[in-house]
Amino acid sequence: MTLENAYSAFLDFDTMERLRYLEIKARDIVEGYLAGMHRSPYHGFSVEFAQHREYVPGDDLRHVDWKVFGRSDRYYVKQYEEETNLVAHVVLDTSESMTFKSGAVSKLEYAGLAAASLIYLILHQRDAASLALFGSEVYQILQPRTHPAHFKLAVGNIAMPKIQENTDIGAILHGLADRLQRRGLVLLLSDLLDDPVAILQGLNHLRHKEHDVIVLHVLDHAERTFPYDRMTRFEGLENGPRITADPRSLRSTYLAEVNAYLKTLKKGCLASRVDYRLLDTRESLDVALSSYLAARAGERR
Amino acid sequence: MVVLLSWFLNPGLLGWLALGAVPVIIHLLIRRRVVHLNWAAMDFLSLAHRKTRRRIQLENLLLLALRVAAILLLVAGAARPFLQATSPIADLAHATRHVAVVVDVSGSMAYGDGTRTHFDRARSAAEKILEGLKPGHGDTAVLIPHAFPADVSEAGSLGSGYMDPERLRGILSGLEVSDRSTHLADALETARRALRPHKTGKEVYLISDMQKIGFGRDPGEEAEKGSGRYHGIRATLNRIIHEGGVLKVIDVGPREKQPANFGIVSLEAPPRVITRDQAAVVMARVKNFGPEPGEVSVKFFVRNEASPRGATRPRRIEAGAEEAFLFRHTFNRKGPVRIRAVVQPFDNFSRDDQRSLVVTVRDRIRVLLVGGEARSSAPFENTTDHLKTALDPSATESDVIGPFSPEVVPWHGLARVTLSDYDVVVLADCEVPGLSEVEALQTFVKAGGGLFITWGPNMDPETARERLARKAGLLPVLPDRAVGDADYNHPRASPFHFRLADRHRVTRGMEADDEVKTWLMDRTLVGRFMRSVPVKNASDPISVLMTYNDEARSPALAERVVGAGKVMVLTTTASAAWTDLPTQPLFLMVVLAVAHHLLVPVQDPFNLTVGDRLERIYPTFPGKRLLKRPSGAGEVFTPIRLDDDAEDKGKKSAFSLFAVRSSRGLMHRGVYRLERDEARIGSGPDLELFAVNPDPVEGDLGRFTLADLRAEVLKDIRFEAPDPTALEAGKAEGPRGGELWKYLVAAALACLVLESLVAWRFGARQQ
Repeated sequence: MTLENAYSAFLDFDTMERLRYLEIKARDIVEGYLAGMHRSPYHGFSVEFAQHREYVPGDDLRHVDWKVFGRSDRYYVKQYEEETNLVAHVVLDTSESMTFKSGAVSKLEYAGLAAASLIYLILHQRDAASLALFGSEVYQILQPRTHPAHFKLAVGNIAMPKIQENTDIGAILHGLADRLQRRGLVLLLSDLLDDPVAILQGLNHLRHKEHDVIVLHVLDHAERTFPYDRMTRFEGLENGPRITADPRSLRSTYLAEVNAYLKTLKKGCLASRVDYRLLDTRESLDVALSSYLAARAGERR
Repeated sequence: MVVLLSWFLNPGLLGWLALGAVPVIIHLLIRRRVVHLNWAAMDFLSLAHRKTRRRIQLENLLLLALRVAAILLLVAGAARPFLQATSPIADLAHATRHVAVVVDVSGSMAYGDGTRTHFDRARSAAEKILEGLKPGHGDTAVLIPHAFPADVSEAGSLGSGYMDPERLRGILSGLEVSDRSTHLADALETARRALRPHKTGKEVYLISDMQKIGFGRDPGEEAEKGSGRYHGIRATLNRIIHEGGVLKVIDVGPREKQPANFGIVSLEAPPRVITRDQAAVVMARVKNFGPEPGEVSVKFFVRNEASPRGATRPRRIEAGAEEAFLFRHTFNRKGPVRIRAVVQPFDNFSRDDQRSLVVTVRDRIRVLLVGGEARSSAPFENTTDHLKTALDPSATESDVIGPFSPEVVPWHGLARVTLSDYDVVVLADCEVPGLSEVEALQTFVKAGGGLFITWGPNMDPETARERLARKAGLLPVLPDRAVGDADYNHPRASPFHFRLADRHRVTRGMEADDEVKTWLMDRTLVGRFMRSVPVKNASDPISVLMTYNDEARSPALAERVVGAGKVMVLTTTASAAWTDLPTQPLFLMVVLAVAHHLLVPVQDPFNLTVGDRLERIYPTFPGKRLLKRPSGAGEVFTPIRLDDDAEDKGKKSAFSLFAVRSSRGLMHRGVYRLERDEARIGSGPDLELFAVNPDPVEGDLGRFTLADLRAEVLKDIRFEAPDPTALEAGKAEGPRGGELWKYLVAAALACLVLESLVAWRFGARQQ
């Protein structure tokens, strides 16, 4: 089973094709074996040729197989079985607040799609990907694997999340920081509707463990614009209170609070060198990920 | 609740106030029709809700209040609330007022209860009305001190136009009760015309004692016309109300519907000429206008002096009845004399308790007898002999002295006499005088002289018609031809007899006495007479007193009023030529009656009613005349030549009449003196007196109560009736209550605009 076939059941193929040649560039040197595009302090161990791949702009010229070039007058780069030792931990929030949707896609669906896309990309470049799902607690963890079949397993877990009413993201992050022994890339996909201080402390903890942390903050478009006009009874998810109000009278104050909260998160992430990206569920996911990864690759170069 | 409803002109619309609940209901419905939404970012929402809840509640409450207020104000405005004058915020609803205050100043308003008169109360009420006006708000007022006839020179009358209410109060304080009568329809029409330029805020106040005669002099006549009783005043009031006016009637009269009052309704000397040293009778008629019988006497004054026999004995007069009180007096001086009669005791209405009369005492009555033939020395051979004997028996019987002083001239001597020296001229069986003499006779009659013509064989009918009838207009009948047989004593003759025709003062005594009547109609023979017919289409009054018993009932004695004098024609002879009338004892009676009647003026120029104009006609230029009023004020009149009024001014007659006329009526009771202003200029009398008395109907104090007014006179006519006592005791009569709907609608619109602004402001914040 090819990766494309495994993924096609869940993802839009066009989207995946666009993302196929984009690579996640770890900003910092991570622990593990690095082959191919990943610079690693551990050269010469367990390097086993696996296959050739056509050169694409951006590939390191050191890996061009000049012999093949001499025979075929084409550029191919050599790929090795142990080319990478990047471990990417995809952490997906499946709490009840993530189920909110004002349009066609809920935050959870959007975040799950993003998580699957990222796992695919990670697996596609032969890196190891793990998946952690959490609500009030981390209830599912898939250990890092590089085999393409791992993607199917990950997608299966993403597609059938366990919705939990309450969440404490700060505590979850602290727990993950303690559990993840090997340094890697932590990709957090959540709406972060929790105490920002606790969240930032958890992120700091991960950073303290020298993980490269990327926060993909998924918010529904309605949560960012509050577009309601009619008298509405808001019933809080995750056992939140009930409020009946005229949204027009609350809009300005609500948006001010949301913006202040986002500002706090951004500022905290910047201070902790956590890569922060806000994703709007109305935004096209491929555009959002492409732009983010392109920007991230640019920063690295 | 009832009081509350009385503040609205359309209280039925107040039910729509329930619409005020509509915004509340909509608000509640909107709150119920909420959208349920599961929301994730509840922390932010809770925080925002906590921060904005109080403000939002206040804003919602404000918007709700504005919407409810707008609806309530609109509904309340449609119900047309108005403020009473007593409201402490009456000024808020003050609408410009245009007030016409009709104050009755007729004589009856002088009725007093010992302390105050009706007029005092009327003046106080009027003052309060004027106090209630606000010139600063544009209020105007016109004061109509009404009495009939209207005095255009009176301050505050319509001629003075609109005035500042402050000035009107000054005028009001100077008003007095007049000697005139009442005609309220006239006054209200004046008020209507005064307020006509204004569109709104018109109020007509009628302050009166509600005397019945003021509402219509002769309601019976109106009823006969089919216009209904009090049609005049009702029509006027309907016009006032139709033009947007409000009528307010203030009754300042007494409680009684018919207050007690005795009044002299007439004072006259019976229609005979008063001469010096002749006993004369003056008669005062006293009427009891009150509901109860009473006893009064009358005291007479001559030249302001109580006559020794001037006080009558008290007599009882039943309610509504009249009694005549006679006073006999012999005047020993010639000239005008003022006689005053006073009812005793005085009552609450003293205005009609006395009355004045002016009589002119003559020395002798000068009669010019113009004979139709040359004088004969034989007794009773001349045409004038019988007349002279009848008028002045003293010529034959020395112990009888009459008032007449006859003078005989032949017919051709007429041109040489001055006619103005005589009171009566008799053309006895004469030929028709020449044109100049006819012209002189015409002037003489028009100036008030009496002309008596008898027709005999000397008179040519055609010439008489031409000169006396067509040119001079003196004849009441046109002679045709002589008919009958002069030999009326012949056994085979069939003489004519007299018949009485129109009822007339001259023949009244004959009709009343059967013996006289028999003498006249059966025993008096007329052998021949001048057949004649009454003048048709004459502008002057003509009457036929006696006719003959011929088939045509030809006129025998006829009269024509010409100017201020009279002409009487006997169509047979004054001698025994054609009739035996002069030889009958009846002849004396006829001649004296005719002579007296000719002397009685057509209209008594010396006894006038208040409001009448002064008019005196003189046969010669009288010189400038000075009129002295009872108040002492004087006014000089220059006599006008009456020919100046004639259409044919180019043919001025040698015999002209002169007149002294006042341009306005004499508005005050009392005795006026008309004197020669310049000595030795003119030929008029040195002094003439004029007695001006009020209309006696003003003594009838019968009045309408407000209930009577509503039931009889002003039924179906809406009017208010402020209480004069409360008006005097309380504050000024204010506006009738201004409407507030404009303010309420403006406030509602303001609420809507404010609501829009507030909603926009809140909405802008929410965006």
